[in-house]
Amino acid sequence: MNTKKILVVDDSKTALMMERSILEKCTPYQCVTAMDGAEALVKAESEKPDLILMDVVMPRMNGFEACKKMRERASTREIPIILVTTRREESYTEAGFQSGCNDYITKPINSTELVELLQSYLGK
Amino acid sequence: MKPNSAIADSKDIRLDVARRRLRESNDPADALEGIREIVTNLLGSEEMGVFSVEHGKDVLPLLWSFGIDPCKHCALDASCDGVVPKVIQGAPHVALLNRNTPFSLLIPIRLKGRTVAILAIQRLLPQKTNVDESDMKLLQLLSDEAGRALFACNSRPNASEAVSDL
Repeated sequence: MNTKKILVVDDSKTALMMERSILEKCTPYQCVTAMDGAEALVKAESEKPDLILMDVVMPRMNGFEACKKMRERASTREIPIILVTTRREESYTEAGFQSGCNDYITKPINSTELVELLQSYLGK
Repeated sequence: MKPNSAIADSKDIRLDVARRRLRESNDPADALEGIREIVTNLLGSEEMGVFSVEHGKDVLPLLWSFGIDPCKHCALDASCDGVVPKVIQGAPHVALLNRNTPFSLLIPIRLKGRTVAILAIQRLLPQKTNVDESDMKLLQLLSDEAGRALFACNSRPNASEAVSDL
């Protein structure tokens, strides 16, 4: 069976460790990582992930900008993008959807909620 | 698909991640960044400060902060509020305060059996509505492990000197 691949993007070592651990322990999905939006653009092209789980507040290029750029490129336009944020205000989530994301999940990440959300896009 | 029990057990993932992050800290600056990341990503707050405990003194100076006004919270008064001395003693490792006090959580940072600093968390994120048993374990881990990450990797003898090097 072809294992689904997720690109996890966050500048926080702790968040990357947490998300990677959840994926490794609770899902069959493969995980690759990037530490900012600019690196995510490169990895999205080279790794061809099935889904991108991306923080919003990051140095160099934030999640909104990276999301917008991915939507402009034919090679990454169709990849589902879930943004991860501490903020859940409507104006903020609206900005995320305008940048082209498919979904939002808030920190602190609840592993059950994250796994269910990933499964809804990638299947079990 | 891996069994659902893996998901049920996954609260332990937070503890494992927090422990690894603190133990991998190379210097006080990285340890503080680790504490900030743990509180933000694993607990759910973006407002915090670390106060130095100097035994025998009633005022604990602010060493480092994130997301709070350092002028407004330049020190923690340990004389009049009964909670702070208890936290310094390490008796209750976590003190949940009421809404009228400036900080929601006070966590003693322990090193070699002594409280060397207090991590004060002002407000939790709006979506974080309670502190459960699993959160308490995380706070206990911070209490037990953050001191070593912050100060033991530094040659300076006390908390304020260690952090003043940053």
